[in-house]
Amino acid sequence: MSSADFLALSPLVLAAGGSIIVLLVSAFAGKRPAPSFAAALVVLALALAAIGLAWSEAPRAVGSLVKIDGFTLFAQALIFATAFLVALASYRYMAPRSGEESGGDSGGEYYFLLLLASLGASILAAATSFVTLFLGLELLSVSLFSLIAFRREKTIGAQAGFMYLILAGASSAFLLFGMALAFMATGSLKTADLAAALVSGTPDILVLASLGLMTVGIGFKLAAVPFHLWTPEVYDAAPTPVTAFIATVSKGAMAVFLVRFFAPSGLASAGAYPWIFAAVAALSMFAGNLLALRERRIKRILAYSSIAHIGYILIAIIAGPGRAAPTVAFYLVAYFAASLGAFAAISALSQGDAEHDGLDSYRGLASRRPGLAAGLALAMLSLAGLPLTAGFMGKFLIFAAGEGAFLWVLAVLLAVNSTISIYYYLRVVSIMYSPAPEAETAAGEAFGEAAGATSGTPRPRSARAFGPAAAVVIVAAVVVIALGIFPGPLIDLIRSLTSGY
Amino acid sequence: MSDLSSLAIYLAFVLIIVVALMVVTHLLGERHKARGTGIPYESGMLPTGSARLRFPVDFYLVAMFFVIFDVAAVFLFAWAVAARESGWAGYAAILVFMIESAAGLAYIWKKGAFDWGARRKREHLRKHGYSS
Amino acid sequence: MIGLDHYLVLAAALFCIGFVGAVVKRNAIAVLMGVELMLNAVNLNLVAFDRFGVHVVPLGQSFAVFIIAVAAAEVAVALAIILTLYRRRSNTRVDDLDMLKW
Repeated sequence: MSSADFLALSPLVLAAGGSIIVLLVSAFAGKRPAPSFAAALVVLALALAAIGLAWSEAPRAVGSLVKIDGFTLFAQALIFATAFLVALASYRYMAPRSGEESGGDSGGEYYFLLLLASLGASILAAATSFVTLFLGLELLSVSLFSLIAFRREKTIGAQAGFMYLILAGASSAFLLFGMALAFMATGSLKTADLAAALVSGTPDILVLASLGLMTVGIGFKLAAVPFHLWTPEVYDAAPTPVTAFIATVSKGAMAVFLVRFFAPSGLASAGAYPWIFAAVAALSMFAGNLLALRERRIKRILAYSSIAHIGYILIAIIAGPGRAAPTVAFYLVAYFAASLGAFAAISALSQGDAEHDGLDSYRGLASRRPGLAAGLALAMLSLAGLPLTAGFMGKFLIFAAGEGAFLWVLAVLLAVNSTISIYYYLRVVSIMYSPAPEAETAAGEAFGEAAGATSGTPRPRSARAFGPAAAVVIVAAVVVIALGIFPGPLIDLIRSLTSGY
Repeated sequence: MSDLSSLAIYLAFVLIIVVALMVVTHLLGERHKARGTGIPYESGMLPTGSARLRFPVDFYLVAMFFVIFDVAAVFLFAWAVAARESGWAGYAAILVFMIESAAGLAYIWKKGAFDWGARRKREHLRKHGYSS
Repeated sequence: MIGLDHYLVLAAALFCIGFVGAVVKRNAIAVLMGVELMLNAVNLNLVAFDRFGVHVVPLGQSFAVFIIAVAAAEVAVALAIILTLYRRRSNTRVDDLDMLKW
C-alpha cells in the first residue's frame, strides 16, 4: 500500500485505531464512563477531519476491496457525524441508573462498540468487493447485537439482541450463499463483475440465484418489506440512542452501498430488476405507513415510519444513473437529521428510571418541556414531509427524480403515502400540545410515574437539566430547518461530489 | 462395476447384518426383571443425583475465549505459510493484528475474566467483611 | 468420481438443514447451531469453487477464513447474550423469550 492509499483510508484507519484505544480506556480508566466517552468523541472528530485528507486523494480504488470517491466520503462524513451525535445523546441515557449496581463496569465499552459499528458502516459504504461488503456488514451487525443487549438489567434488551443476532446471522448466511454462487459464476469477488454479468444479455441461472439470495441479506439490513418483521421489536427494546443508530447509520450505509452497486452499472433500468425494486418499495411504503397508524408507542411508530422511508429511498435508487446518488444523499441527510432529533428528544425525556415510550405519557409535554416538545414536533413534521422542513425537500427531490422515468406510478404512490403518514406524525404532535390530564399536573414532577415507572425512587436532578441529548435535538432542528429553507448549497455540494454516478 | 454399485452392495450388507444381529439377540437373549435391573449400577450402589451436572458459568467464559483466540490462530497460520512471499508488508499486517489481539487480551484480563475459582471466591469474601 | 456437483449438493443440503434448524428449534443454542451450519455451508461452497474452478488466486479460501472468524465473533456474542438471559430465567428455550415470533 502506498502513502496515497493510506491517506484515502485515513478516516477508516483512525476509527479502527481509535476504537482500540477507547477499549483500553474503558478498561483501565476508572469506574466512570466519562473518559471513554471523551475519547470516543475525540476519535470521531479526528475521523471526520480526516475525511478532508482523504478527499485530496479521491477518487481512488485501494486494491479491489474499497473505492474512495466523493459519494463514499460524503456517506462516511455523514456516518461519523451521526455517530458523534448519537454518542452525545447517549451519555446521560446510558449512565448507571440510580440504585442499580454497576458491578465494577464503567460502561465505557458502549462507546467502543459505537465506534466499531460506525467503522463497519463506513467500510460498507466504500465496499467494492464481497469481502469488504461482508466484513463491514458484520462489523456493524456484531457491534449492534451487543449494543442492543447492552443494558443487562433489562431482559427485554437481551432478548431483542438475541433475536436480531439470529435473524442477522441467518440473513447474512443467505447473502454469503449468494456471494459464493456469484463467485462461481463470474470467478471474481468484485461487485462490479456481478453487476456486469447481470446487465449482459441473458444472465446465467447461477447469477440470478445469487442475486435472489443476496436480496434477502440486503433487504433484512434495510428492513424493507418482506424482511421487516424484526424492526418494531428491536426498535422498542433497544436503548433509545442505539435505536437512533440502527434507524440512521445501519440502514443508510446499506442504502449507499446499493446506490454504488446499482447506479453506475445501469442495472437499475435493465430488465426486470426495476420492477422487483418497485414492488419492494411500494410494499414497504404501504406496510410501514399503514401499520404505524395503529401503534400507540412512539418508538414502534418510528420503527414503522423507518420502513416507509426505506421505501421512498428505494424509489430514488431505481431512478437511474445521474439521479440516484444525489437524491439518496440528500434524502439521507434529511432523514438522519429528523430521526436523530426525534430519538434524541426521546432519550432526553427517558433519562432516569423510566423509559418514556407510551404516547399517553407525552400528553401535555409542551407545557412541561417546551423546548424538547418543539424539537420533537419539528422532527415529526420533517419526517412527514411538510413544507419548510428538510423532509419536504427530500421527498420533492425523489418525486422529481421519479416522475421523469416510468416511475411516475411510484411517485404518485409516494404522494399518497406521505398523506397517510401525516396522520400519525401529527397525532404525536397534537398529543404533545394538548393539555395534560389533571392528575398529572397535580403531580407536577412525577413525569416518570406517568410513563409507567412504579419504582418510586426519586428522579435524579440531572434528568431535567439541559443535557447533551438536548443539544443534539437543537442541532437536528437547525439542520432540518436550514435544509428546508436553503437546500441549494447542500444540493450543489452533493451534485459536485456525486458527479461520477 | 462402478464404484457406486459396490458402495450400494456394501451398504446392503451393513444393513442386513445389523438387522439380523438385532433380531437374533431379541429372539435368543434372556430377559429378567429383578428389583435392581433398572438402576444404573446393578452391584447395589445407589446413584446420587442426576448425571446432568450444571457446569459453572466460568467454563462457558473459557470456552468463548478459546473460540475467539483459536480463530486468531487461523490468520497466523495463513500468514506463516506465506511469510516469505508476503514480505515486510505481510509482517506489518500481522503485527497490527497481533497488537489488536493483545489489546483484547489486556481488556478481558483487566475485567477479571481470568480470575475464577478460588481467587474470585476469596475476593468476594473479603469484600463482604470476612478475613481469610 | 466426486466432483463439484457433489460438494454443491452437500452445501445446499447443509444450508437447508441449518435454516430449518434455526426456524424450527426452540432451544436458543440449537437455533444458534442452525445459523452456524448455514455459514459453514457457504464455506464449503467457496472452498469447493476454489478447488474445482480455474482461478489462480485462492480467493474463495481466503474469504472462507474471514467467514470463520466472523462466525466465531458472532458465536461469542450470542453465547454471552444467552448467558445473561440464562442467569435471569435459568433456561434457554426460545419460546420462553416471548418476543421471538416469526
